Amino acid sequence: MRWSSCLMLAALVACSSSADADKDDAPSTTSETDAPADTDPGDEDTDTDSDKDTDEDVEPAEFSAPDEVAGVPNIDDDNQNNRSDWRDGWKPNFEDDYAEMVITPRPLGFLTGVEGIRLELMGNVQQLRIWQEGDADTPVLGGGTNEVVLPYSEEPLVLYAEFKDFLTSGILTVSEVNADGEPFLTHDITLIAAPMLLNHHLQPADMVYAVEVGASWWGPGNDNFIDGLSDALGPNHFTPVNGNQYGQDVWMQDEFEFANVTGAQGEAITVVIDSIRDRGLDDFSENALEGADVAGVTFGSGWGSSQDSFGNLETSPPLTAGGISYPFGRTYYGSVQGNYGMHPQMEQALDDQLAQAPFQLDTRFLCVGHIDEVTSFIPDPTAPRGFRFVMADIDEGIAVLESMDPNTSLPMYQGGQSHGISDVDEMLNDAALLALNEELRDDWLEPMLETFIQELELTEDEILRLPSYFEVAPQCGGATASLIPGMVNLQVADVADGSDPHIFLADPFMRSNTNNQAGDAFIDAVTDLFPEALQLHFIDDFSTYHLALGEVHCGTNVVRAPDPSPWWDVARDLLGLPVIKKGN
Amino acid sequence: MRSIGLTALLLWSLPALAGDWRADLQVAVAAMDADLIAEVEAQTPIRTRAGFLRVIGPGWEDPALQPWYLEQVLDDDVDPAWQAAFAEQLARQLVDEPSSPWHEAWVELASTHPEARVREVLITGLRHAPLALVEVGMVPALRHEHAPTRRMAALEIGMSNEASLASEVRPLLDDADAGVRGNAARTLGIFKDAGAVDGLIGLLNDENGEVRLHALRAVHRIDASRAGELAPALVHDSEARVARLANKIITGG
Repeated sequence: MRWSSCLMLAALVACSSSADADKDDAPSTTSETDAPADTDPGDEDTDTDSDKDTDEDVEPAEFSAPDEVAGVPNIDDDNQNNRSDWRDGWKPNFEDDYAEMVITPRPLGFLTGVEGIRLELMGNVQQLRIWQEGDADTPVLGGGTNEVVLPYSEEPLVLYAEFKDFLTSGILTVSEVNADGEPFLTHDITLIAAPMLLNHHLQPADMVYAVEVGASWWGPGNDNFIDGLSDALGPNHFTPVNGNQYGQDVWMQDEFEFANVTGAQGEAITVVIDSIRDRGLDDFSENALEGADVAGVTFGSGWGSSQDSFGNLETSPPLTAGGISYPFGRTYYGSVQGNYGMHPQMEQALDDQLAQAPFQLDTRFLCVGHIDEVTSFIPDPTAPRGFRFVMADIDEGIAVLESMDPNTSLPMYQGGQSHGISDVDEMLNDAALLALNEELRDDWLEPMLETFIQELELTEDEILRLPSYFEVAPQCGGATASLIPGMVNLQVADVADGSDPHIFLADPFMRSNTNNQAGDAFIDAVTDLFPEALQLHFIDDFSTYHLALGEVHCGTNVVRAPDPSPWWDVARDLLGLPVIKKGN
Repeated sequence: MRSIGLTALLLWSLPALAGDWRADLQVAVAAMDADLIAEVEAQTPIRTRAGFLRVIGPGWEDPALQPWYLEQVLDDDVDPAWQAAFAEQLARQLVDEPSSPWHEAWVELASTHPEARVREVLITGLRHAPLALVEVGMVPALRHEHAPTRRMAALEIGMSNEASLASEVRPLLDDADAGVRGNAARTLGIFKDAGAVDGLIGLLNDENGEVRLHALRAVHRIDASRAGELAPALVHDSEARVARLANKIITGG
């Protein structure tokens, strides 16, 4: 017999009830109110094997209900009425984002005086609703009603929990009561909605998007870029977006960040975090993505700095660091410390999700200021943790330059329209340019790498140093951008079709023959550096992206399949979900 | 375009820049192909990832558009963001031309244009220009009343590798603006200007960490052994990058 006593604490649920994460569909027994109570909040017993053995000695369930329900916030628009389903306020038949709870009362309860089933809701009651099967108009709980007594029936009581927001939590207390409302048996159900989990590069790619802009006399097109993606991925995994509809805004990465929420009963919603950047692509998510099982959310409002673009918001693969397991990776983003960063509400929203423990890097040395300009992750099955961290590296850039014939002409870099550099010798022997790059290395990139090493416990073996070289970019107040197209600004697309993951990188064009990548020393260096089990595609982003201060990652975005790991199990500690408490 | 010899110095000498470019501009614009003007006026620059405008594409590279660009840059009714894009394109074209009637306009406007962002791109465009243009365009900008313009000039003189201009930069080590002091220190270090060492050492006590960083590095670039003597006092500097550099100097890293 157990007595469950639950308290809602400010941060999350702090509940002493039994709440095995994997028992959502495995009803447990209730507790008799006159049973000995374990109400000691300092009891830190955890769910050990021996405890589980003890569980098996508990009397068979007479009144069964789940201990915990892990659902999803009902933020999508299943009925396609251009309003989030939570805001609709009723339960449409086709709703698929409710979490079911089956409560089976004791048989013949009326013989012992049971008259009703009382439901009490505690916690974020303004963000929770409890629906009863067959009742499509009003919830039995929520909307100001936090307690209700339903007539007793031996038939299973089928309820549904609806959550308004990420990590909305509460306790549903279910009691068999007599005619005076006095409880015979009580059971607490922990209700918890999923955190918003940002995607990382190891998740399979469902669809890659890029904006297509036609070449004209007055503007560079990106035919080669689109063809490179299309040829590799095919129509099932690549969608070009008509730039004419979106103001020729090619920065697909910057307008959205894709995330996922999942529930224990198979619920899944793709989350599109729509940046307050609000340039040409602002309406794309609403027009082309959002609807049933795809929800748009925005954090903050008003003017967005460059740091509010989501090339500046990335997530590592799953890892353990500092003795803490991060099963969904860690989120990181660039900021200009002491000046400005992401919108405070965006930063707060990331912090609030708890599971991906965000950290910041100082990116003020970059004109655009996005963390994806200098760092990335790629999958590698041969790596200790299944990934490699990729970082822009000046010394490697210099080494590759020094390995080249200094007389190698660089047609793509020549002329005022480009970088005004004729050949390798001119690039390498520009003392001021070299000095600038040494400063970037010493003052910014090395400290940044040290932060990554510290925060993610990266080992030297996990780090791939990509040859890179920077310049002071015009119109940037002295800040910098890639001189050689930034290959680190890459896109990963593992389309899970049995082939090796695709890696799309900027063609560096460090060669005389721009039409032939063979013999390009920078391509060769990166090819040698990267794992063999990857399909590398060096695609032409020079005019449309590179000269406009972006590269491949900036110009693409990927909808990824949710990480199937059960957050309600593997991220319990990070989320502050209750540990198992044991009574007698 | 980077190196400059006697011939180039003669080509780019100050007297050659003394024409009445404003009068020439009116004539040149009047002579432009009306269809070309109509076509270019229908275009929109692209927006870079950073958000500012830039003109990229073969049409924009037409040298015949230079008078039109200059006219736009001078037109108060044109959005400064567009002016900056046109100024950048104009500078990108002019830097490749050994002579142009608009060089004088370029170097003059680099320090006189009312819009800071236009001055900035014109100064940046001078980075790859010959010494005479760098001198005429950037030195007045070093004295500009607007600190960001002085900062940009101090930085870009360094990026031009024109060490003969070091004496013009040295006074900025005492500038009221920390960004100017820092960029001046940085540039003098790149120039390996021995005459600046005392001033740079004085900046090691600057209240601004960025200034101390650039000063220490500059001393190191000019006189590594002197920097080695000074570095121990900075290994616990409140600015992490200064402490880091000091340690690196000491360890020879």
